[in-house]
Amino acid sequence: MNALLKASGLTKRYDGRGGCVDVDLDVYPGEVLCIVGESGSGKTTLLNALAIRTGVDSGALAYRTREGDTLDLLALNEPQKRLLSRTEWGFVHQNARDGLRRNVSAGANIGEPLMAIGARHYGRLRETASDWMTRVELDAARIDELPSAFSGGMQQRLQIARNLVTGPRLVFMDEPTAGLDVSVQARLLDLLRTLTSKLHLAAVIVTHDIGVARLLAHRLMVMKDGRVVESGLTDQVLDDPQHPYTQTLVASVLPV
Amino acid sequence: MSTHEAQAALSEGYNFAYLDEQTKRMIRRALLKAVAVPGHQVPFASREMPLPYGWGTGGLQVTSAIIGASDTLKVIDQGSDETTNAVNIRRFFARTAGVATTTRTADASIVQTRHRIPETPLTDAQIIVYQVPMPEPLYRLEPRVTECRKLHALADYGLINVKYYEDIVQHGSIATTYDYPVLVNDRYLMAPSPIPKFDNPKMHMSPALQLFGAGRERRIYAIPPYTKVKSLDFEDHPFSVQKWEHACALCGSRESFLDEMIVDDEGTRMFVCSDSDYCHSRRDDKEKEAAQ
Amino acid sequence: MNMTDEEAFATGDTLMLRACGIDKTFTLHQQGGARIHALAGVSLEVKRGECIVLAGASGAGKSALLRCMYGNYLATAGSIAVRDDSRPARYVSLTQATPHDIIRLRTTTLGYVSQFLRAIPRVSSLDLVAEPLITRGVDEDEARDRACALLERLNVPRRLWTLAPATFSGGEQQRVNIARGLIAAQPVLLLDEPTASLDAENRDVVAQLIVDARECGAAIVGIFHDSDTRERVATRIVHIDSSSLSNHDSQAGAVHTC
Repeated sequence: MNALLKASGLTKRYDGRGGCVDVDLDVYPGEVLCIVGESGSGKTTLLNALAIRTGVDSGALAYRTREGDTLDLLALNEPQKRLLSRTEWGFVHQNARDGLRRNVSAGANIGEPLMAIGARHYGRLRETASDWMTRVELDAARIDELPSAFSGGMQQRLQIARNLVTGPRLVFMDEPTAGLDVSVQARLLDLLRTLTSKLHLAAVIVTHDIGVARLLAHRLMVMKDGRVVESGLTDQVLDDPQHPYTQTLVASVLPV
Repeated sequence: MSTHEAQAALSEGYNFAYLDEQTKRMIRRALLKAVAVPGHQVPFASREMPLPYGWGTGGLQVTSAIIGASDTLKVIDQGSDETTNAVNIRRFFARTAGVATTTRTADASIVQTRHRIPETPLTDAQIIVYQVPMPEPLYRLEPRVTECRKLHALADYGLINVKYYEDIVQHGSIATTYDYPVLVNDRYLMAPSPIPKFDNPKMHMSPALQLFGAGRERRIYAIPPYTKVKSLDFEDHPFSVQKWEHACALCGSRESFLDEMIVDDEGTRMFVCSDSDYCHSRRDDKEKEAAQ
Repeated sequence: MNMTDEEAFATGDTLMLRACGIDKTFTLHQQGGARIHALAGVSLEVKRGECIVLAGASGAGKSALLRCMYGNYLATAGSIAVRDDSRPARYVSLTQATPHDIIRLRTTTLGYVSQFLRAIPRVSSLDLVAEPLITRGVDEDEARDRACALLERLNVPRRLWTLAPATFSGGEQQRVNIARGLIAAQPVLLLDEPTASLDAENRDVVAQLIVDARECGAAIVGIFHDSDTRERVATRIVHIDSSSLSNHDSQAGAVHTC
């Protein structure tokens, strides 16, 4: 399997309603895939299913590890899931609060994933944490401050650093810029763009904002009522939308 | 107290050592499981004891389940045989089991303790029973019991390291000085009960059987003899024990855990061994030497 | 155009891109399903060292053809094949390719300069121009040096190099766009009105760049509205005729070569 992550016929419903239905997708190393849809489109359910944070009703999901083995993600047990999430994946929540520990310092937050996989040298943990704070454009001198001392956009950067510190190959992001001020969003998107390209990260990003997709994604998938209505290269889907819903979506973007 | 004296103190109407035989069996089964999986917390059906929760009901139940007529029992509380707690528990077993009791560590077959390990090294003919208030080492970091159980099951202990990292950030060193978590047999994270970290090294490769009982929390755990017990730390902030500038004012020891006592209204201080038996023995030995 | 793609790419190795019978129809669902026909039955072959200039009336579909060849538009009918010597058949079908394969094709083979600079906001023009090299694994410093050289050649003032192009003049933006599109020297170049906003001097510079690329063996398809540039760069001119778009008779070809 060449793809990093491959889903076939993935279905997850809630009591026979909602969720996502019969989704096929693949993600390749170094490529960013954006899943775009409005509320209720099933995009968040799909993201959680792909990241095996929730079970599925039917379908197949496979992942190619660093060593080249193909894992059946739906058949993993708890320790295997945790190991995978720790060493090869990242998950950035919409709300930084959900992705950070509020009662420990910024440095501890960034260092924790490393401690969880066995890092035991205080000095080196601190160095790594400082380095990452700088990379996400946070002042490294603030390494000992609690997350609540940072603004929303900065907390999001902290969450991103925490996710990238273990060098994951695939990062899932759930509306990473929603809820932030527009100028803060812009800077965060720039950061994400730089990081995904420099680190050759594969990413699956859920967003309702087409502008985010245009900026970050190589490929785009449009969802409506739980189904994928169109998918393809970002520039192709946005410049030559085929499906009526996609055309509506593209036409609805406010011109600057 | 000799066996003979104890027999005289034996009260009517109680089963041997207070608990009924079926309960003792239940506790022994839990103990066997605990010994089979060192450091792992085994739930047990904790009974109502004539002692409030928080006063050693767990230790009491463990001792009750293992004690026999020929055993000699020592009970200490913060190293002393003479505090209220120690005296009461010792008397409890005298009344309900009629066993011999002692204050000398070397003469005991079972030592029940609150918050200290005796300075005198234990032998492979001895069992030490610890009273435990909170058996879960991750309690303060992860309040959800279900999540804690998962973490233990998956040996997912990164969280405790986060706490130590924060300690070093805030205090310059790991701030925990008692109930310092240990990794048992390279597998389970365990709360050793509120013994000072000074005592942690004594748990490593001890010839004695170490049993832990938490009555209120209903958990039993154990460290079998000669088991690896390692206190957690960072590579560049290694585990270290407390040290005093003083020697014991009574026996002159520089190796034991010292209590700081304020002896008068002027605030005069005296440092004395916390382990009363140890201090006593050393003074006796000194006197004998002086006499010779 | 009777050969199969396989045969066409097998004979010799100068053929780089082959489009056969391309139709493009837009269906505007928001306008009650109105259909706009942009291309009908267009075929084209592009070889190394060629620069084909598409000519024709405005709205004739020249731009649409370029976009189909880049994978930016989905052709409604027809096929587009691009040389890929790593495959046994020595070509890959763009029209049948997965998005992932098209991404790879764009990295290795297809270059595109659009008519308007769709700049990523807040990125400096120097970084914009260096980026195609960096993503292809070129060392960052070397990429920057080459970007500087190209911007210099295109007469983009040095003081603009560290600024984002959003505030530049049309001509300056276009030159940054061209630099970004040409710097990686891809084997196939698709150029959509690259000189539209430029003055004569800069048109000249761009024309020379295109000629240089052509002489290095690039296969180029371009739309140029000014005749001077056209004359300098073209090896062949192809007329796209919009008059036959009202019917879909593929025999009508809509292509005349000269």
